[in-house]
Amino acid sequence: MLAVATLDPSTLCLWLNPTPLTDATNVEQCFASLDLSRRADLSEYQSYYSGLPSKAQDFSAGIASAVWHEKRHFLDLILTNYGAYRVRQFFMVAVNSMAILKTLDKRIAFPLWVYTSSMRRTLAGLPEPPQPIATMCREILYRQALFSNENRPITIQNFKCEIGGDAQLEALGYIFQLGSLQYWLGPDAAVRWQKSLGDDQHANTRYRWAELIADAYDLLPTHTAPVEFVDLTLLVSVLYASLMMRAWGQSYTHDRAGAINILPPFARIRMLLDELKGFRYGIASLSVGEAWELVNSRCKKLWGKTATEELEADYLHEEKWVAKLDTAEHGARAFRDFHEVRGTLIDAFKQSPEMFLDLNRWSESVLPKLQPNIIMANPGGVDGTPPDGMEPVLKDDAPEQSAHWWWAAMLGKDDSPYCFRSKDAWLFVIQYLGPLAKLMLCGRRHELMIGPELLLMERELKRLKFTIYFEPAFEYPSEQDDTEDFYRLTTRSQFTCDFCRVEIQRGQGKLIGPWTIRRNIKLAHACASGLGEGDLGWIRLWKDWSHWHFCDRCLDLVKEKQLLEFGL
Amino acid sequence: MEGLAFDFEAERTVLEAILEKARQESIECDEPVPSSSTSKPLHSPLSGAEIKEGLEIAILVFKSGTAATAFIAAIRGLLKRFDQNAVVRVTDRASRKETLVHKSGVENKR
Repeated sequence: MLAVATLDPSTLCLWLNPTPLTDATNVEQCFASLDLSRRADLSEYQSYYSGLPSKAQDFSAGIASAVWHEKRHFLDLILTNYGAYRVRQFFMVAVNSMAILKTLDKRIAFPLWVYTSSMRRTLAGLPEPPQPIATMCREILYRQALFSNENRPITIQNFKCEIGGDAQLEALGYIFQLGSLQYWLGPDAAVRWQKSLGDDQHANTRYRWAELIADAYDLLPTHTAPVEFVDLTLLVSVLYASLMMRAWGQSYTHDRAGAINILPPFARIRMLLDELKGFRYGIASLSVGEAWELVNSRCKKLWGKTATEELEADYLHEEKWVAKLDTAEHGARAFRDFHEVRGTLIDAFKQSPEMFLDLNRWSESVLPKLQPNIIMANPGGVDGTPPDGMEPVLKDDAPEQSAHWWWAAMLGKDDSPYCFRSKDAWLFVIQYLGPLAKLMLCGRRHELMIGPELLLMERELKRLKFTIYFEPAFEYPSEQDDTEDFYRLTTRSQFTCDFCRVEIQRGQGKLIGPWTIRRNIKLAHACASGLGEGDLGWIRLWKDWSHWHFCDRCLDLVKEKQLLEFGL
Repeated sequence: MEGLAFDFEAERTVLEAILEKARQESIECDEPVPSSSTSKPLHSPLSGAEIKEGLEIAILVFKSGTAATAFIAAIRGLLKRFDQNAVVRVTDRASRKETLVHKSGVENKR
């Protein structure tokens, strides 16, 4: 996966990987943009931005607004019912993971739900699981089916779109990213950033589906002259209310289909939009507060509770769950921290929904206060130890070569009411419980910024004398072709082949991911040989989880399995 | 349970049709489960993955290699009912050898 900024819902960490961008721009500008845009005082970033030349401004705005987009996810994953349910998907497993390990007889299968199928158990030679594990596996499968269902695409105005919970989070991320660009850097910056995405990204329905659907329901007043803009006031409220699902199995008394227990965001948004059909408003004629009240009243009519009441009820259920956790455990302490921050956010939201749903007020008052744990990552590995003020998260060494390096480190952060405080508990979650929960949920089949994230946890399990069985389809991440992403991220039109050093023009050659290299022993051997002789080459390959560039000729040689004779 | 076990992975509707056919032919099969990661991170638009149908996976156990080959070949006909790009990934669980089945043909991956 080639991504610059991602929010990991298992740990709520914002992972930043600036390395693809450093190919394209002044390294200092790249790091300064990342660093200043995450701060609680954004005026410093504003003045830094205004001092940059025009082209560098666009690049910097792209980086900064990606951080703001992810911060919006951080907020919505904590505050909304669906977001918190998504986070609890991991914590439900993480807080029980030590007990699960103790129950199993030093042999563990990933994903954990393999234990529920007698056929899979027979094929893997696994025993029938103890009752608590069987119960947990059923819960895992139930949630996976729900999330899978949420993410099924539908067609809107001839575009393939997802409209479920994750898509709603992405739409909010995109809308508020634009809003914060406009607020902090001016409308021109927002327009230029949109243009810089190119036609493909501009029309990317992963982020813009909500505008299509709101337009289809006539809920998107548009102003055309002198500049075109749309009024997203009602849409934002609809999205927020849709995310306030009933995640604890409470039943519905007012839905049309009868007894549906959970009615997730996919269903809520469709019913809400149908309910609002025929409602019209002119541009800027509806305040955010009025829009939220309107949507709340429609929720009450449909399901017997306003979205705000759903939020309160969800929090009370969560409170009961938290009370049962053993707070001596790191995972439970981290989740209690999550729950407390959620409580603070819910209080603020109830006091002033506008602060969270109005683009300008959010940008001004909430965005700077959102201070997630931030991980700076470098898939290639960095020799030595992280600079002062950074806490290593993923690191390794090779004593025989007197080498040590790190792949990821947690940055220090500004104090804020909207940040986690149990630093040691979160570090434990990031290093151990988060990766373990991921392995239990889906094996290694995740989108990972740094490969060793899971492998170091596996090594820890082996140190504890566990043998690991992977269900075959979940043994490796499914890597996609990242070549086009590389060009879009770096804005470059060429790269250098890592094998023969020939310059390659866009449209030729490929970027090969780190897992693909490691799954092909001959290719791995060739790459290791290229990095150094004997053990040194293998150690360097273990350290370097970056993508490799291949020209077509070298790629053909790989395909023909002739790389060993390639003279490396 | 005796026989050769294969993982069949495809979009939900395609896999449902495959399992229906398998049951009609008394081939032993498991319940499908989602195989796409349901725990993916949330990216910023700087990264642009396209929208795809979620995938599901199920195990089918054949009595012989000949039966497996015949069934895999017959899937091509079944794919005619679906989208042009419909594809089924079949993996031999013992050897990890992968085969991709499209409407237009069968491709051995590794």
